[in-house]
Amino acid sequence: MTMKYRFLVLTGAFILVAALALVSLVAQAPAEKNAAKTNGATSWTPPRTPWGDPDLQGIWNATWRTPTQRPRRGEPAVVTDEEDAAEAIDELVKGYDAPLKQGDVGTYNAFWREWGTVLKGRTELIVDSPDGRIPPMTKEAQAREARYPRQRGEGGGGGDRDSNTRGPEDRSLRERCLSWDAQPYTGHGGFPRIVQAPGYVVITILRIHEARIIPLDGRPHLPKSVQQLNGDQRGHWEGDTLVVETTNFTDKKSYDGARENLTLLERFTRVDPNTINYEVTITDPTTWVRPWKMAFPFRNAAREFGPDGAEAGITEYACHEGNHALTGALSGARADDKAGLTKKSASNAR
Amino acid sequence: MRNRFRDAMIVIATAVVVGAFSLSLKSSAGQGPAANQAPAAGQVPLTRMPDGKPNLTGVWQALNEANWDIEAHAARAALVVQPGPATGSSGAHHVVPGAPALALGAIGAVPGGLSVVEGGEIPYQPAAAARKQENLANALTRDPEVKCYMPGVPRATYLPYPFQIVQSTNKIMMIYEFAAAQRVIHMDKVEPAINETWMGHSEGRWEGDTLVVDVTAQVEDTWFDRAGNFHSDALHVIERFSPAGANHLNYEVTIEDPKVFTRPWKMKMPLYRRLEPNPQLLEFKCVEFVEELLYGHLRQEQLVRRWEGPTMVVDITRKVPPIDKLYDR
Amino acid sequence: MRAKLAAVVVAIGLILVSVAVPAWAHHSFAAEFDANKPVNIKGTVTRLEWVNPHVWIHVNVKKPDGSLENWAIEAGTPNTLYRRGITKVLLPIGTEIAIVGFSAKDGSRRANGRDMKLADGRSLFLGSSGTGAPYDPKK
Repeated sequence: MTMKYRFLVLTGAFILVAALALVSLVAQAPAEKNAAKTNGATSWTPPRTPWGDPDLQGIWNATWRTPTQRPRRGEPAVVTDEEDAAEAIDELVKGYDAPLKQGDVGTYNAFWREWGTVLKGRTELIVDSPDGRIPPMTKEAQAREARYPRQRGEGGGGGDRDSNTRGPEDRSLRERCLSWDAQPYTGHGGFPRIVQAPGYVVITILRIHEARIIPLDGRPHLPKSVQQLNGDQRGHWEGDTLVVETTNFTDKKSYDGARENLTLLERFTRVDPNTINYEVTITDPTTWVRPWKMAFPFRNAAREFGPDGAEAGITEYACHEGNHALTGALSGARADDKAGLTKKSASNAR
Repeated sequence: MRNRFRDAMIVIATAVVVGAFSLSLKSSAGQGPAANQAPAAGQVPLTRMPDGKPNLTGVWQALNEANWDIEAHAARAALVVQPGPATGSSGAHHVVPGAPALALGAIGAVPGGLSVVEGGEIPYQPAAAARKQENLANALTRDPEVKCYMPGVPRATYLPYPFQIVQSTNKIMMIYEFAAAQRVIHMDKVEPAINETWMGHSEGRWEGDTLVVDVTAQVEDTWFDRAGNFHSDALHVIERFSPAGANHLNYEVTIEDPKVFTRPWKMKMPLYRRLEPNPQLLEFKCVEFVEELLYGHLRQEQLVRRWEGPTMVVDITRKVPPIDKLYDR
Repeated sequence: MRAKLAAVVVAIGLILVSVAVPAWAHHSFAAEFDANKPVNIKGTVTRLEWVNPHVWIHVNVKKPDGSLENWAIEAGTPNTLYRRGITKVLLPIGTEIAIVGFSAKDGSRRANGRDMKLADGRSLFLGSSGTGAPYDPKK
């Protein structure tokens, strides 16, 4: 064997090994990068339910550490790489496990917590925005927000409003167990279970045991006068893609700034046994100057955690039945009142 | 020539009539695969899934007074009552609505109902029977339904609100309008529950056309009705949903709880499909509606104080329970 | 080596934890619990509420005068505990347990359970990552 040939063989072998190593690193998130950006057009066709609809059933992991929108200048950079994510998590965990400090009530340490993965190569879940951010709000919406600021959990709002808890309305919808995020479009905190039947798809979300019942028979939406926290869903198939339109939201909650005029158009396409590509177009001309779109994959939770782990992960979330926290927050505030510790401040109660 | 034309018209007309008739037969067979069960008199034939199992998908509701009291009971004035004056022909039996229910009038009254319990009476152990009476006397403050807590199984089935069945092959969802309660019935093999839940852990199987569901791991806090009928954490529920045509289910429930009852016992009732066009559950997220009831006493300033009608003024005073009772559910 | 660490540590989460947002956005600890009232509770388990969203561990604590006081300790979720290999089987009635946390502002005998130790010295907490996670996402 000549030197040149041996060199070529060795180089080739090295490249092959490196490629395999790279593939195995990337293999945790197959087809994500491409699939997330495209409309799910692949050569794989999903199996059918016995009645002939594409089968999207199962428990899906729709959570990502990747934020909805790109951070502004000065905000922490978004981790896009799993190695860097591991380091970031290490730092996080060290913080959680630090000894309790004077004056810091502390929260659960690392034992009680979990954390998500990053969506490889993505700095945000929005896909159609040149600056990676939610479009600017209309003047009307800005005025509305000034009057009724968002609370924690309503997308971008929050921060502790512990300075003056006069009543339940001073706490967020989450703390009151009124509403979480029923739509997976936020990409955070959802483990949707999809079950199908002839003429229906139902998507259930862990918090707060929400069920989105989606009829596929083409019936009209509810009248506009009927407003619901989770809106009103209608679905149909376009080829192998489930398309769901949701309207009839309520003005009692801020959905990233929108209220009752919000419309969602979601597309669910199963592109391989372990991935559903999810896209959602978010429209409210009374809130944003233009619609915006998010896209990210759902991962098969049974594959990641085993079927028992996946089921155990979505055991019933009886938020209200166990809501000692709201009693505690109110009772604590009354104790503060008595002790003269209550700071008077503008409350965000409506 | 005219004869042939007339003959042709007769043939075509007959064909059209026969065609229309068979089309109407086909469309009346319901959604999905054609029925293959001869209907009983007056029943719409059951539709089936491709594997032959009954298709139970749809919106259903019970039509009885079981949620008020699963045992036979006459109507009475309200959930909260107080004795009336012992004079008058009712004498010592006279009761009037209590203060919290007074303004609701007939809407706050308890309607009568037949028993859905086989044999009529629930076989309580003596100590449990006493607790049931206590529950009944304190129903307004103890009934988890008042607080918009999830109703558990089987009560969720016979609440006076619809529920939706979405039936797949390995999972069957039952979603209840009240409090957005829901459960998944696992038709495939799953591990036992890792914790207790308000709606329990349901595992199902088919016995012929009957859906049999085994429910365990339910929290002890759910009730069977508004009359204080209760159970312990040892509750084991076995449900049988037997279709009687497309629009009726015969629902039978076996209750086992050796800590509370002297023996297993059963409930039985029909369930009805909601037949109006496009039946749909609406949100009934009552958590918001009970917030004032459950937390109003902890406001910095009392919010709901007074109501005035033509003949009555209702003044409300809130009080904060002692600290060791404050967090009681 | 790095890849293996990443595989072990990257446990898919139920809740968003980004560096900027507090993890337990479910409710605010500062509203309920008092930074000036740390507790070290040693007691025996009298009751378990093994429910989502929070496990509640009720313990009887023996006071210096010998009387018993019942405390309610708020813990994490059954789901997270399950993935750590903890089920209620590990804490039968009568188990001795030691808890570090902060107690409620309103004087009630409630605390959030941060660190928990069993009588045999076993800590019901993971410690830093990379020390050998007892949990593993199944592949």
